[in-house]
Amino acid sequence: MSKRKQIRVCVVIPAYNEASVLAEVLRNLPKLHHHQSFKINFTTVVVDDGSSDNTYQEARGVEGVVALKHIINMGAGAATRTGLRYAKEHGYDLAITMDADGQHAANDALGLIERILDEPELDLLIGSRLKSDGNMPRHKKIGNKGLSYVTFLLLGTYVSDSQSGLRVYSRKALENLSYHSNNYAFCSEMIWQAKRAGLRIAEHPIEAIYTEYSKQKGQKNFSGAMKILQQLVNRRIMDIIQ
Amino acid sequence: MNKYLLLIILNVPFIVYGLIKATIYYKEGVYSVLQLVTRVTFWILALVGVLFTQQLYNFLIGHDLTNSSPLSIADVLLATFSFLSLTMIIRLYARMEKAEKKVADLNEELALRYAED
Repeated sequence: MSKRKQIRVCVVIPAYNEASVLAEVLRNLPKLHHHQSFKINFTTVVVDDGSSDNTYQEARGVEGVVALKHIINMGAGAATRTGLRYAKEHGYDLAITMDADGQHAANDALGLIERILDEPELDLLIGSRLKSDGNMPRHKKIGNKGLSYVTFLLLGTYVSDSQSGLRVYSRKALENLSYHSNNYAFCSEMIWQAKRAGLRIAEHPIEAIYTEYSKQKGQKNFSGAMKILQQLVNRRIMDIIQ
Repeated sequence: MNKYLLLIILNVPFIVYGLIKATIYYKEGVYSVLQLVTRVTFWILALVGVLFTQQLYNFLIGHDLTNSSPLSIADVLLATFSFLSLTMIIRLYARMEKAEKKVADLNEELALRYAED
């Protein structure tokens, strides 16, 4: 029997005030997975973005989880950047970002990782909730599509689900990708910067799990979308005037 | 003193300063080519606007496109301060962005170092 090559994957989870669900989300994540040609070892890194609850303590309480803490709350973009830097500096082959509220299924994460291993020319693989027949509510679909079009108009890059948090990054992406946004605009800016850096981007259909918790916690639909829109416009202006 | 000449004297130094600064930043590698082109275009348009205000006004009056009164000293001062305010707002915004980036970098560095201890 041929020996499978070992792959180290860093699962980056930015978290802000997620103490009530985080431990369960972390326990459901895979530790080891056998792909056709690879043996995949996972390490989970939680970046607590200055939470006022026990998010950090909950993360530390789960065996095998690396917990990082931001002293002050900077936003999802900043927390993701910290986690990706950890993955880069610790020599991981791949990194995957996931939401802390359990919105992403472990099977979808594995699906994305298997695809990037099967297609090594890809650098950034984005899980798209709009490419599946999933259970995304209609108003969320409209909001996400709208933001994807805005991303295209402002930044010149189109993907169907520009706000998806489930993404896989190749080693090349970890080394070459950088972005400035500290807030939610990072989702769109990252795609833009990836294109600028000459990275190859693709999308993969995923399901979105909407629990009562994630529905309550999630961005207020219209105001959330408007906030991201404003952040994207600011980002674009800053790129011109700075 | 000719008010149009006063407008030029008060505003051209800002424009020249903007052009020189953009060139220096480009040479130092702070600005990309796109950023340099954006700034140079902006300042050249401003320069053309300031240098040819009288001709522009005469053209508009001559073609019945405006009925506003000729340039006054108050207009000159208003235009100059608007220009100055715009420049200051942009610089302030850029500095705020830089300060925010430094805080984010510090936060990131501390999180990573703290994890290693």
